[in-house]
Amino acid sequence: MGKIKRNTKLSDIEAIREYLRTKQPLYFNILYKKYSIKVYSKCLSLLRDEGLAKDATQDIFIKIFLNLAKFGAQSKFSTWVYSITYNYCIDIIRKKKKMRSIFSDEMENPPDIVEDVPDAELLEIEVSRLKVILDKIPVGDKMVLLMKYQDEMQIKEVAKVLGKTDSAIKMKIKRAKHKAKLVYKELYPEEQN
Amino acid sequence: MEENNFKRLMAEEELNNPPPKEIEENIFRNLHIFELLGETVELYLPSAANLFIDMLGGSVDHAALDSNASHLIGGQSDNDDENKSSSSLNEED
Repeated sequence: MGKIKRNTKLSDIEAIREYLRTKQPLYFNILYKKYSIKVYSKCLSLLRDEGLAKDATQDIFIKIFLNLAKFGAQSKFSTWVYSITYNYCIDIIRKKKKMRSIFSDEMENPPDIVEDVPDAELLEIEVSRLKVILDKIPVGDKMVLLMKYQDEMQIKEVAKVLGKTDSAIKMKIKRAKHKAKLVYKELYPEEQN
Repeated sequence: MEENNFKRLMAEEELNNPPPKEIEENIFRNLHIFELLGETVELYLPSAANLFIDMLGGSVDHAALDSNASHLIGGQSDNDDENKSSSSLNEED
């Protein structure tokens, strides 16, 4: 058996390779320590239930473990982890609300006229207010905004995760920004120019 | 990575809601079970398949199986013996 690398500053790819080579749980633990906080926080933010978030985080990491050998490194490991997380949460919300899709048919409908909200306008909203606004808009809209501005995922990556076309995602983000702005105006009228 | 209020919100939420310790314990307990299952399947599934073939009246080369099994659990394979004998022949030459 090879020697265990004690270096905890291994990159994600190195930790995966070492885990697959040695099967030492230590290497999977490096990945767990790095991503569990983010995965749990995302689950809690999207599912809004501690029990569900706990179960989801557990299932997501088991899924990651079972599919680790299939991770092809075409994308960043973080993007892969987040895509599993988002898809898992989508399934839970869909089942809970007995919906076919959490993304309403508006994604497939022809684009209507929606104001294009500049990124800066959304990014400047104060943190505590942003939290309130994100909790007020539909969860599908919240998800695309988190993917774009929190996880810095490219349009292509978001489209791949959600199984939609690039143009559908662009439209979805545009509408989500518009809805967020409307909620902001409604909740905090005193802050509008 | 450029900071923005979405990321500040994420950092705040991560700080306020750390994952409970029991998640880690459950995950690693499950991983241990998966590993044990994997090893068990790897070790015993071929034998079970051969037992099934035997029961159906088929023939299984038990000598070859034994050497494969010893190789799996760290013993020497037939090839190792061949290598040794060929090297000793070379030494005699």
